[in-house]
Amino acid sequence: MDRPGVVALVAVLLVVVGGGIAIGSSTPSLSAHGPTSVSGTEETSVFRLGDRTVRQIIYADRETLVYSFALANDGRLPVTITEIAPLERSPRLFRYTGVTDASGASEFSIPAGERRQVRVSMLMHSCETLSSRAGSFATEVNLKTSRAGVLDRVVTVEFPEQVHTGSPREAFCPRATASSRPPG
Amino acid sequence: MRRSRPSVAHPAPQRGLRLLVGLLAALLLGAVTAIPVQAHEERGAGFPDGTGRRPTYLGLDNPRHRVVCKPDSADRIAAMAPGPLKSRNRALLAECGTNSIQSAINTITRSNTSIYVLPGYYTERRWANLEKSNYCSNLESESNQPLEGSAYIGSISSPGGEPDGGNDDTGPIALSYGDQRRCAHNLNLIGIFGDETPGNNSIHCDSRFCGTQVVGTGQRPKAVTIDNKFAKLNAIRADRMGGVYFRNFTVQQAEFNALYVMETDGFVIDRLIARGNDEYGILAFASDHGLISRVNAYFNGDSGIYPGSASDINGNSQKFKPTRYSIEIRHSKSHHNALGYSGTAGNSVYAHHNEFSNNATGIATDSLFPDHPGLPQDHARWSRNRIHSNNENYYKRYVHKGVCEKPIEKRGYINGTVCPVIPTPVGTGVLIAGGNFNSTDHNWIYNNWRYGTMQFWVPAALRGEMDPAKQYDTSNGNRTFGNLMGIRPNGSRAHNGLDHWWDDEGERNCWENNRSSRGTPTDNFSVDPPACAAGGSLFTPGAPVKDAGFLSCSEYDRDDPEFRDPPECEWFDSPSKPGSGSGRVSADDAVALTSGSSGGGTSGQLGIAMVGVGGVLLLGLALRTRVWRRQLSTVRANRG
Repeated sequence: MDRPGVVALVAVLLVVVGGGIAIGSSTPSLSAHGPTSVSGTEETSVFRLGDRTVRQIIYADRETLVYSFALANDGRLPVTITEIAPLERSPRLFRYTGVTDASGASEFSIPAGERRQVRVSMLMHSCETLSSRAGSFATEVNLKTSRAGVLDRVVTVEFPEQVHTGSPREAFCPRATASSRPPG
Repeated sequence: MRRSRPSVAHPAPQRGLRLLVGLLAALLLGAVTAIPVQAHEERGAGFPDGTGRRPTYLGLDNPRHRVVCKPDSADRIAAMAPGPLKSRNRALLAECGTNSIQSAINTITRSNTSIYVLPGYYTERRWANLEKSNYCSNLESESNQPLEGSAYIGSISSPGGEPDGGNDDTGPIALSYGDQRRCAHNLNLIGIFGDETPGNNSIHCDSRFCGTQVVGTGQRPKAVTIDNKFAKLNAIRADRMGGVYFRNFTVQQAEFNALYVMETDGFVIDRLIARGNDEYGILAFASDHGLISRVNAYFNGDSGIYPGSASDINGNSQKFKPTRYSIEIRHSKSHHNALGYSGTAGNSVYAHHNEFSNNATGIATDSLFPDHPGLPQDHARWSRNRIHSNNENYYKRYVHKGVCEKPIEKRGYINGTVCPVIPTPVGTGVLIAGGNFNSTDHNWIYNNWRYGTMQFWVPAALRGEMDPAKQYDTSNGNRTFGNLMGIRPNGSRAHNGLDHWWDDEGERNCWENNRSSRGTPTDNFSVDPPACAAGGSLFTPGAPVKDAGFLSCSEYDRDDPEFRDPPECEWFDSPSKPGSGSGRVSADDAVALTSGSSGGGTSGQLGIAMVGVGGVLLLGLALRTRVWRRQLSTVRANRG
């Protein structure tokens, strides 16, 4: 190979490697959108307040709330969602238990530039520790992702709506005891 | 040590059913005797039918009486100033038959009997330490008058909890009326129960206890002190006690209520001190024909005075003027509490000539919490009250410093510790969170460093009603007029942070004829609503622009280190004192409350509003408002 050819090859390699590193070191770009739906609650309602869109649900102790929305891969590589990762600050009344796509697969991929309907499952729990006049929000989820099978990242995705519930009265909080939560 | 928890009750088996029943209660009031409704952790209560009446004081010479005294009562009487009252106390002392108020009550044989309590300190140890019968110890399984099963759930003390000095096993909190009466001291230091036929469908008082008057005979309320010492949830409970009269004593240190009036048609609470309670000083729940007068309530973690779910006699009315009020509160002081006055579903309450000061928030009424009968809140009137200096930040002073983690009896409630049970915006005079047809008129509202008044919409979903048609059924028809804002009664200035804060939501709301320490009242209104006579504000479709902050603050939990100060909640930030503005205003301003110049705020005060509200929230608002105005200008130009 003549000298100009070597230079060109090196340049191409540099671009490829550099680009790969750049893509690899970046966080996948995921965003959540409607349509949304929810199951596992007796009733639900959505309202707007300021810049917030709130989905109010009725707490059902130890039941699982499934919140569905469209997850968009806004990046340039396909992204595989592998599982839920813990949040820095967990909601008081929700515990994230899993994420699946619409078919129920717990590990699924979203091609670049496409959307998939996903379901985040949340256990409603711990009302016995929260005053019955207090509430709790689930506003985001941490997703473990991989790209090309090796580039693992945890991505925080904000829900299209802030899911909110109030802690129920004792009659609807079977594990509550007289001393397990503050008055309310 | 934490003991039994009171939070009031509700029975019903299914939430939807309970809500439906609550609505029916409003619709059918007057047609049915006892309509089931719900509230805190308590049995399902019912509004009285409204046929009762407010009792009159029978004096200290009611021939039908019992006398209670303590060993040192003679000395205390001897120390009284000479006069007829001292003479009467001496005479009564000679008749003293017991040292227990409850024991005296138990001997009543005829209605309208007075219990004269001579000066002394009463702890009612006999009843505080009363050994429960087998029946009362096993209500969950043995009750022959049980509530719906779900009402018991969660009402037992923790089986694995820490020992609690013998008080650990309080049994269920939500008891049927029949069990409350039969096991009067499971939850109450002193209990008076008026309905002796709990098996029938009437909640009327029909026993020898009707019209009982409990009267301290000292010169002042502090001469007789009833100290629960956190032995029971409630210090005094008067249940279905039509005609009951409480007068001239101090009652203190309960986890729930110092004085609890329940399902009662006709009562008076006069010259009482209610202090040092984890939640309420005085709670009058699902009651009618009530008077709360000359009460001094302080050091309470919720409110000093709570006319909760008062009979909703105007609930179906779309008129501003009520047919009548169910509970009147007058000449009282409520200070150094989380809330001076609270009113979740505080319907048809008339509070006038009171002083609500030095609380975190002076007056709050709301439709924020599910399961209270009579929601959404409506038709309260606050008039000619002094509502000032409500800037106490108990969140930072006690909750965030861990004081409220201590055992309840060691928190120092009686010495001024306040552990707020609920979130409320520190520095606010009057807060209407989702109320309808309320009148805030002719008050002195000053020196509240956040807002003088604050009103915002609360979506029905938050109280558990998901019907889309109901989502905007709050914050309508309220009028705020004739108030002196930032002006003391003597005419000197003490600015509010912002005189009026409103989220622009709701129809038929108006602010007019309010005078301000700053001349024109300051507000954050995007557009001034029309005058009251012109119909007030118009419903504005679309999403509310202003977020009052209650959702973020709803995550407050005083027991949780992470959520004692919820993220993005600004209500617990101490507002700074508004600019100097010392000196007196003109005599005109200081004089008649009714002669103010017209004027809700002007949109020109948006800059001031931004200072009061602060932060990104209002920046967003300002931008949207600008767009809105531009659109309005365009529309007007096109019309022109």
